[in-house]
Amino acid sequence: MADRLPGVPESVRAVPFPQSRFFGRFKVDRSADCINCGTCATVCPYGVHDRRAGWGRISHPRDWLCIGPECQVNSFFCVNHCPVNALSVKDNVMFPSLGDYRWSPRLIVSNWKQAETGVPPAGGMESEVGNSGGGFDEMSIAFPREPEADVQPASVDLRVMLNRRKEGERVEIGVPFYGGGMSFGSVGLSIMLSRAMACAAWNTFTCTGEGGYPEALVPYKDHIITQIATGLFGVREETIQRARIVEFKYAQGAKPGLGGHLLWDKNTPDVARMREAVPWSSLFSPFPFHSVYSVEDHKKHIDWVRAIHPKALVSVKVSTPTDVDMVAVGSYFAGANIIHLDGGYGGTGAAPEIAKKNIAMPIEFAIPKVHKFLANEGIRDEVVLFASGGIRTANDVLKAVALGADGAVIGTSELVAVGCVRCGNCESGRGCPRGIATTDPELSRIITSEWGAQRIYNLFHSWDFQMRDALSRLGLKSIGELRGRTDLLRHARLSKGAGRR
Amino acid sequence: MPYERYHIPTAPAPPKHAVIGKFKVIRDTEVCRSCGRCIRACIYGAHERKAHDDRAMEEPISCRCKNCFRCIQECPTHALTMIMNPEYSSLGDFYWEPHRFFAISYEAETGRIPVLGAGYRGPFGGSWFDGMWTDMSEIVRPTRDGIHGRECISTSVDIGRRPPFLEFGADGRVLTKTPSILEIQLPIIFDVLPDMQMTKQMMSVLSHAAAWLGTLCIAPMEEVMGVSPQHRPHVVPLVGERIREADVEALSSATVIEIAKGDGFEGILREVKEINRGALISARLPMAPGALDEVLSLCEYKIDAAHLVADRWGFEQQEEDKKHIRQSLRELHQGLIDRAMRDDISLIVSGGIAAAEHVPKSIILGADLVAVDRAMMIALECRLCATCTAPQICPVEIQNADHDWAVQRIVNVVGAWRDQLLEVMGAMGIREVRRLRGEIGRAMFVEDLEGEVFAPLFKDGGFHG
Repeated sequence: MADRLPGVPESVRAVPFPQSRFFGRFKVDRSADCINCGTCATVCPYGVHDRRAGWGRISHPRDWLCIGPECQVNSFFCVNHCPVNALSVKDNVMFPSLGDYRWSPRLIVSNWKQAETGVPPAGGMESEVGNSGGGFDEMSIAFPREPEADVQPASVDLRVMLNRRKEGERVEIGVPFYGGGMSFGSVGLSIMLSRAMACAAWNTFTCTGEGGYPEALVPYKDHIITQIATGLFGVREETIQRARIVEFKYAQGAKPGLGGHLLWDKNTPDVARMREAVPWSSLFSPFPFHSVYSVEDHKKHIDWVRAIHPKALVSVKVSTPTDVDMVAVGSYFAGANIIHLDGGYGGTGAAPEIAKKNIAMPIEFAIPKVHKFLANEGIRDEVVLFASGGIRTANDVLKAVALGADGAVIGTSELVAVGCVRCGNCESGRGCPRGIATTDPELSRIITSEWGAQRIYNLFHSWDFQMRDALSRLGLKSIGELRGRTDLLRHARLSKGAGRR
Repeated sequence: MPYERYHIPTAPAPPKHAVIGKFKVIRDTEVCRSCGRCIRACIYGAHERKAHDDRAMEEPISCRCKNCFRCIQECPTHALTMIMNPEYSSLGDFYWEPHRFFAISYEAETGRIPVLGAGYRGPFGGSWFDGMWTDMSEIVRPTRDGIHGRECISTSVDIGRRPPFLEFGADGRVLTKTPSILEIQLPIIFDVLPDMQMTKQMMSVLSHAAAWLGTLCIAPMEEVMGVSPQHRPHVVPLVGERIREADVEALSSATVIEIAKGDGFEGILREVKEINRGALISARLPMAPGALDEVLSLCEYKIDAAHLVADRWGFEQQEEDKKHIRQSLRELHQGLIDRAMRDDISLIVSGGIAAAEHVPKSIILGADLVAVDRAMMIALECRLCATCTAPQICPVEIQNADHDWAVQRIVNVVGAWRDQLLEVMGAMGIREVRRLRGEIGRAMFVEDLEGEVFAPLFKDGGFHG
């Protein structure tokens, strides 16, 4: 690659994580009986106990490194070695209050570990599914005993070509995922920069969302998609012209059929300037594009972008109604290069709870439906299908591809990497108390873009590793070979022989 | 008459008792040094110093906690812990889940649609109403932008029969005698509350709210005359097994009369008709197997509406193999269509309507309108703890609730539910709630999707032994 862009991480570097180190699955307690003998510090190989040089007392146990009560089978179990029985290891009572069904506490903690170290957590795939009880959480990858072919992880090809039409620029990404739209306003500038830097390092893309294109992002423009959504906030000729990919957001999975929401308290003067709106007023993007009521109108839209920027690839972000397959075909004939399906369980900065749960189908159903329909129409290989809306892990990306997508669009997992706990209070007040989904001058100082970029970089590194590993175990040479291979997936209830493990 | 668009005026009505929060923050006072870092860390104000002693920290105010873990990560002595609030987890039951209480209490307080950040947090699909998604329109189908008032979406519905066709005389005059129809502005009416809760005070609150909203409120016969005369037109007397002398006055002025369908139904019906020929008649019957035959027989009596009452969880009223209204309502609606009789009667359904989304979903399944009960009690802070037999131990002292406050809370919930109905219809591109009825094709069911999409994929794949 040519000159490195400022702030772009070059390799995995372990990053300290004070924002989440408070949290582990287990709780190690040291009672007042401790005599500070230091035995525990010498026996524990994970570094839970530590006596810092020059300190008389043992530091507070680093619970997040502990492997839990199961450790008792090991000869180095600290509890057994403590001469005064001052130690105990238990489940952390706080654990269930973290996260939710879809992002279970284990998933969040495993994401944090990856973001901190750049490698998957020990223990393998146990934390690869959440507790939602359906969709990806009921699927697993069926690894054969013997792979069909001998493929080395390093030689697996994860690249995805984003333009399958004959004409137009060849744009390729290095990993089978890119970042979804998050507007300036829904998240702060440092988060947008973190994402852009990490995506630049992995030769993939991130997206502006519907909130304008902050100047600070311009150096990373080759890795940023400009989104055009119904409110047209901050969309200008130059923001379209500098993007290699332009995304039309017709609908969003978290609020299908409704427009964007930015509640008034997050519309700070900075945000309002970017959006050319009045500060401290709620901004609702309309639904739908009032200029688009048919596929022909849709084509007019795409022609309009191509007139401004002839080389741009066009991505069409749509939600998942019953006729999502027709929408996809229509989009193809209107000239789209990428069809981006955003399933009902997608992320958002603010959306009515009723819409998240009840409107439009989950992505797991939409992918195979659209994939098959496009194949039957004979156009599957001329259009690129990306899926989003609940893609949390490397395994979710692989499952989405096996169901028929070319790749996935992610969002929440990047935010979890920089310390999101899924508390869901992004929408109002000063925004995110953890400094992510906020433009509050004080709160947004919590996260610096360099730190965030490294965390996201590390997460992607771990995903890259896991995907290469999985594909080689499946005997596949490239991510493209996995597309539509539902025979490599196993459904916990519906697969033949399910129930037997 | 000047044009007036229907609007529900909501206003803040803060709770009288602390809302039961999902999380509980515990401070280990042995370890806490009262340094106050948690006060700075928390942007929601869950931590405060003691009012009378600045040196010590107050118990954390858990109902303000929003689960961000800032105080916990920043506490220098690890003195703070967060757990799931056991009081929250034990609210309600498997159907009236704690998060339903949370949503209703927010709606009652603000009158607004609950909006939160981050994506959906619950289970994937679920049973009953939860295993059902509504449709939306984009690009290839027209859409409606009704949410912000840019386009008008009507939520008014009719109670009554519609003749399948009109007959005209040779002179062009309409010969068909058109039955009267009542139009109400909302597909939501208030049902009789469970016995112990249907006090005079609740009756007065519900009838006031019904009058305010332009909807109806079903009331036990003996309570009707206690309602203030200006709200009485919105009250639907519920006639039991016999009509007393004292009931005649109330019946003669009612617009809609509901008769519980029992043994003496025919006789009672005749009596009611004698007292009030013009009133619309609704028959109240349990949602149970055989409901279709019952409804068909009601059509023969030219009854205007059938009110099907499921149990509190929305299940059929019988001992075993209970179906949820998601299934039984759909079958009933389809059964009437198959006999070309759907427009001969309006269907009101009640029981198990616990959230805003249950309204559009019931209508999609075939109801004309829903009747709500317990949800309105929850709006008044009821915790469904069933201690009503002894009102003095009611944890929220519902019997002392202020009348105006209670009315406002109920109006707020209904206002928020209507707005959410508009959201769902706007997303689907439907402009009238009447057209939503029975639109099964605009809904997706988890078992259908699994059958259509997943079953063929996983039928023989995915197993390598």
